[in-house]
Amino acid sequence: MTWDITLGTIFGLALIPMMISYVFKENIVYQVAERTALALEITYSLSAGYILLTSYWNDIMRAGPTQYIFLIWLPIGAMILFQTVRGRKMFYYSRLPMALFTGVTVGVLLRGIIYTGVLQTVVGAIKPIDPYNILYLVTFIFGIAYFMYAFKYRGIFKASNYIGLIVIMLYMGQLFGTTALKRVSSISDTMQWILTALKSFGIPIPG
Amino acid sequence: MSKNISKTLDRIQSIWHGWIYIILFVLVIIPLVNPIGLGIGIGRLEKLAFDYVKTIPAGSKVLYYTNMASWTVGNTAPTIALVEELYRQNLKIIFVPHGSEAPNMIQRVLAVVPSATGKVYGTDWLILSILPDLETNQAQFANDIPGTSPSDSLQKKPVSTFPIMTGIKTARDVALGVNQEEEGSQYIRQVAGPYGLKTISIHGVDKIPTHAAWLESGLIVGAIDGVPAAAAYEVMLGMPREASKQMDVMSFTVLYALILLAIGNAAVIMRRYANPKLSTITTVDTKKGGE
Repeated sequence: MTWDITLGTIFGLALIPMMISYVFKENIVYQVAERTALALEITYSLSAGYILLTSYWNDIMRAGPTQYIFLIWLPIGAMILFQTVRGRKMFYYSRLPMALFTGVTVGVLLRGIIYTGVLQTVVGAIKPIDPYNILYLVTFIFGIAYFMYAFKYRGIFKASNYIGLIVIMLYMGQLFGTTALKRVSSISDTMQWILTALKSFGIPIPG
Repeated sequence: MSKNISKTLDRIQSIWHGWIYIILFVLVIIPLVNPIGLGIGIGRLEKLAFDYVKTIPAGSKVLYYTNMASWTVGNTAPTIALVEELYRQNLKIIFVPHGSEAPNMIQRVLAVVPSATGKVYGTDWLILSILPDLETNQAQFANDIPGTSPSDSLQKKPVSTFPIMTGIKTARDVALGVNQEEEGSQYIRQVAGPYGLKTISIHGVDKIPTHAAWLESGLIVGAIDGVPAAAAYEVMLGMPREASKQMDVMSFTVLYALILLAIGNAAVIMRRYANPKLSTITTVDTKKGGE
């Protein structure tokens, strides 16, 4: 093992039991681990930002003049730092990069939601017409119907509201079940990692 | 009789909660250090993924989107299993890292994949430069791969200098996509859907219902969801490893959770049966110092 992996493994082996101690009661050991993890997360985010920035810069420089147009985003992005400057006018400029970013992202996102999310996923899942796909369509319609607040449900439509509620509850139930299963999987992964790490330090662990 | 059962269940509920976790840890550790070898079922999603890879001609290229990081270090079994099959099929893998830790994690995974031994960087595999996990990046990258990611992560050379990138311009130029991102929907919206790229998804077990819908609509060709699917993949590959060992843990702990759920629900129902006027929801009087 290289020194950085060894150090990371030692940190992991120390922090995991400290964090797990919270399940019994909140205690000082947990608080130390929590704050250490938070500090590491901030450091990690800063270093990740630095790596991304250098990667972005190097990509543009290596590709040559054809990519220089993308350098325009550096000063525009830096405008967000105006949030730290007092004064209404400067604060206004700090919102420009955010507005640009949000606008472009929403535009791209909407295209994906309409084309892939609605047309491909929903329409694609209904075809071919077979019992399974009919069930999918029925649950889809009732699920959507539950969230239609534009008019008041009366008569037969009241039943659709109720069926929609059942459909959503079924979904919530499976969501809870699979989420619980994922947590169990995480515990198993973590324990497996601890045992492998202990083995790598020469501690005899069976299995 | 029912009152006695009710009392017993109430008594069980008043046991110190720490025991629940202590028993859980014991149930996790015992199968890990002493594998029992309970049966491993092969699900539909992973079987489809496994069979689809078999149909891809040798020498084809795979675009592998991943956000592996230090927090996924314990959950590399699905990746190891899939990469092993891709290399057994003699496919070439172009990794698209989302996140600064991904290039390092990819190398760590490849180091333990048996069939990755002897594979040449730049010819059989490549790690492109880090691509931020954003909707706009996904869209741009799929449209112009060398333009959006002009260099690699390890040697910092232009991607055009690597043989694996010959003929690669858009997401249409590869035979298979692997979606192992944090959430996965971005990739589906911007790559799999618009470019019709056949995709295998790797996520946790909580993604199974989403993957079933994507599979029905043809957006993915299969998926490896969590430890059970990874274990099944290992069985299909004839290479039982960590995931197969963890399946015993899953079986034990899920059974334990079901028992706890049954006891908790039985206690509530019996309490209600013994005293119909009693609400199932315990009200707390905060003025009296209740928690």
